[in-house]
Amino acid sequence: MKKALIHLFLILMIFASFASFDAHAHRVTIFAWVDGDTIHTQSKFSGGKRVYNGEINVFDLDGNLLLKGNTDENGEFSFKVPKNTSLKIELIAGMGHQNEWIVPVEEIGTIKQDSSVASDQPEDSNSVLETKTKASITVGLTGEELEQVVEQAVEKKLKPVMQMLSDLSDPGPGISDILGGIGYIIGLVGIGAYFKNRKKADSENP
Amino acid sequence: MHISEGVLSWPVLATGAALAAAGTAVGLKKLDYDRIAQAGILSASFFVASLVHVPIGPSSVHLILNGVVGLLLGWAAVPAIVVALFLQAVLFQYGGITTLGVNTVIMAGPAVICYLVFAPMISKKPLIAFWAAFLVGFFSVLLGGITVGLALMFTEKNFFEVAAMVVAAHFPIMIIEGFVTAFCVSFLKKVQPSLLPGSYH
Repeated sequence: MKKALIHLFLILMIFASFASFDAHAHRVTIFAWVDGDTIHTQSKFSGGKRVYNGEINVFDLDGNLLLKGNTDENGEFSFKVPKNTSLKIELIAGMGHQNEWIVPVEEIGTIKQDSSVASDQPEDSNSVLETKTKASITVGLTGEELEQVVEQAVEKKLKPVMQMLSDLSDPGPGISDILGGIGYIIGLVGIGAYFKNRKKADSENP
Repeated sequence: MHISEGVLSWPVLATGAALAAAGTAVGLKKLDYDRIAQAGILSASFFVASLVHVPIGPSSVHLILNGVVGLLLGWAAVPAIVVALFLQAVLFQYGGITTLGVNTVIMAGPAVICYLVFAPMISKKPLIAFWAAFLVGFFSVLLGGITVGLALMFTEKNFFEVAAMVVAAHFPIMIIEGFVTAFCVSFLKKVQPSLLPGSYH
């Protein structure tokens, strides 16, 4: 009998380990950052699992829907800044999981000016690059070129940092949270015991 | 299992809150002096259980333990779970304050139902008690998943799809909860049978 039980247990465990399940977590987080005229977002469940095919809705602060999209298999979704205003990015991950991230207008504002420079550039950037290859040794870099190169380098360097920030923006519960919670429960037990005890004492010797 | 803030419409939230309040009132009424400490311990266990991740395959699932809490406390499981869920919402940001009622119904409702159905079997022979306890753990998660589907029915596409998705996602944890509950009960049966329902009234 015991053996049968153990076998059953093992079979169930193996079965369980094959059962596919996605999107199981307590909560989802979305993290967004501005990069040039693009906003990148990254969505994941607590525990680090990425949100695949989560629904992203972008609102301005008055609640007007500006655009929507879905996250890819890395939980990422990028879009061009639709409007020069603060943006509320909402993530709906299904099964009752939802969260949002606000991009303040200051972040977009400063970028917009840069991006206007950047968006002016594509037409002449080729020619700039050509002249650069011809003449860079003698002439050196123009201000615009330098800006572009620096921007690219900074973007490259910042990507892992943004990744780290995105990870940090979702700290799991700390030990103080856990102990604090248990402390509250012990306190409630004490309060409950106090009131029940008074009732009991009253009924015993009125 | 925790439904986040802002997902549900207010009629669902209000219904959940009303049901949870009623359940809490019944639970507090039925909770007598001798069992307060036990309720506290189980509430604390439920509170931390969601932090215990069991790695399976590529991801991990966490324990819920609503079956154990229900089986050992009966109706008093409702206040125990309300307290734990409230603290999880405040300290861990799991779920939320507005969804506290709905989440309580999701976790405590099945716990009480399983208690009512399976508690009489726990005082039977060890083998029967073992499997009854397994079913308590299993069904308290399964019914919870179905309740999530019910709650989301009014906001998401359709009940069946959502419920099936939640249940499928929780299938491994149903099995694990089943065994955790079963081993817990057979341990208590040997060591401290007075804690189990049936021997106590």
